[in-house]
Amino acid sequence: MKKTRVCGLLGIEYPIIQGGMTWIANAELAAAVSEAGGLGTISPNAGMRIEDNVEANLRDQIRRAKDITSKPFAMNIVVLIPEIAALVDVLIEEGVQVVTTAAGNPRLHTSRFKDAGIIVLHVVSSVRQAQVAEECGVDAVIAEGFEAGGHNGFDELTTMVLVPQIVDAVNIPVIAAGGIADVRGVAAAFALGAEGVQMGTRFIATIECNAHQDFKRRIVESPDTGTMITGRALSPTRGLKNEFSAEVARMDKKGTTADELLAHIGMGRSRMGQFEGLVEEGELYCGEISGMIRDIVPAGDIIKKIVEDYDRVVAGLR
Amino acid sequence: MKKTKVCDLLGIEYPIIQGAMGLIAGAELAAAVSEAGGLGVISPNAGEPDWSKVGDNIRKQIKKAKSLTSKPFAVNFPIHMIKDDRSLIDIAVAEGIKVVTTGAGSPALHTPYFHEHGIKVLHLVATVKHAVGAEKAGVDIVIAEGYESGGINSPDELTTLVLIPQVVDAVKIPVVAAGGIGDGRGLAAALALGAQGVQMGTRFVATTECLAHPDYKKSIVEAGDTATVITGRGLMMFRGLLNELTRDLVKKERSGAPDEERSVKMFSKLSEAALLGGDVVKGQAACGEVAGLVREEISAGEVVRRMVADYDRIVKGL
Repeated sequence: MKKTRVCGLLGIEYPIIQGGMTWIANAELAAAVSEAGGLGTISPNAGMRIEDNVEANLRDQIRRAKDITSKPFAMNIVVLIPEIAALVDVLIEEGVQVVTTAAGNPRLHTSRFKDAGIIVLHVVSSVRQAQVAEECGVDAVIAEGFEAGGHNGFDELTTMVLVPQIVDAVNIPVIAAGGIADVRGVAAAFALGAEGVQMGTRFIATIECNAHQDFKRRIVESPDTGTMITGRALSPTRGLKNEFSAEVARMDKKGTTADELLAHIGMGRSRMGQFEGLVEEGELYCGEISGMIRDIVPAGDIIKKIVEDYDRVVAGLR
Repeated sequence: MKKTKVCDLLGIEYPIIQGAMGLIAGAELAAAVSEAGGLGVISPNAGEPDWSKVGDNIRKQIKKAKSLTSKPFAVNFPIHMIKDDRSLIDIAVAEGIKVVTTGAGSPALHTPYFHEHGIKVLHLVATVKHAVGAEKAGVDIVIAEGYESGGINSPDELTTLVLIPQVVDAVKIPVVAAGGIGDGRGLAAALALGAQGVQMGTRFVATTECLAHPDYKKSIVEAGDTATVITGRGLMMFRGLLNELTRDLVKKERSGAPDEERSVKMFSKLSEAALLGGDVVKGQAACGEVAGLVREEISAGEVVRRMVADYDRIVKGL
């Protein structure tokens, strides 16, 4: 597989990034991805209880990942959360070299990361957001399409249409996310002009991921039509179809307000589903590509297989 | 570019198919696409909003296309419109049509009849299950269409990037990718995903040969990435330009309005107003998300030539 600007920027061998999934992007998963030549990403709240201290958890996760790998890995920071300033301090103190930021204005924190010598990858879901991110000085944008799991853009642009339009609109490298799980998706992303890919759902169904076994099994068993968007008017989110999603969909249909929805579902439903394994009551963030995932494998094997198959797939196009 | 199974089956040079956009896919457009080495497709009601007159219209359109090209072109039969009536099909048979595209209904209904007359059938699907069913019904090729595509859309909301590889894995017949493709990058991406060809609608609307109203073409050329929207969720899902009509429908959906307030009365009149009358403000203007990539009106032949040239360059760089 050819080297792209993303490889040079991040100091990695293959431009394959593991997404920073809330609760379940743990140190062992991130380290395994980085060891295999990609870029692993840790979520600050990986594996912790809701009442635990997120700063302490983050520090612990970083140190555990460093024990396993000497290669670079990233932290995922949701810019909107209240603890953001303290988390940034931890990253700087612990010498994390890369952050992926999402769900917030990149103007707020990018300069602080850049001053500390940290590389910033920002998640965007429209051309305008990508242009703003570039103006703010981020190093690369992660262009995430409608097919992606978890929180989703309001504009519903799919990876196929989003990536080339962003490639045309910015000069920094573009990383494609949403709907990618194998070599075909990687080759397609590169054909669209991306210089790397980020995969979330594929990396949940791995040995190293700390997601509950029952959640992993749901992903493996999911058909092509196994996911749906809920909260379209308030905060669109893609997850596996279950009792929870059916309940939220019923409220959506009635035109529920944000407060009513929050009061009804409460906090921590995604932890319940993904980490505790309450796969009907809980929320199961999951991308549409789950229909293509048929096994639980070591994270490194996913990268190895993509790299092995890439040249054959590309040769077949010529 | 390389020849695929779709080229061999249809007797065409490049695996690029022009979608049969209702009301506006006429003989001139279809012939131009076929002359350039792709496959043009005629819509039965091209330029003729009165469905009771489509019989004469099909005959007229086919004769005109034959006078413009000696290469193969197809006719589209929307099954929900023709139902079990073969009178329109018999006109195409009598005129010596060798390829048809079908959709919006059971492929089992007419496929054997087409085959009796030596006609190849390409059937539109949007899920793995429908693709498997179409293969069982004997169709020659499935066109797998993603959520990003314009016009009537599937409630399963699978995007092209996730739909294609899953359909490719599930059937033995060739798969054509549709939805979100507008240039050589999309063509290369679709083939990387395992498709053997592409179908494009929106890109071919903005061509000199298309009989769409100039104001409708102009609105596609000027469209940004976020210019389209889905309406009719739970009723008849449709992707079109965001305008007065669709903005109002989305507002109703978001506020939980009952179905009867969200259903589009006089649907065909509103489509006619936009596509042929140029009322892109109050009309129903079908349009795919890829409109943001369509930046000029050019000839249909030029669309095909540019895609093929770009394809070879892109694939070399992968």
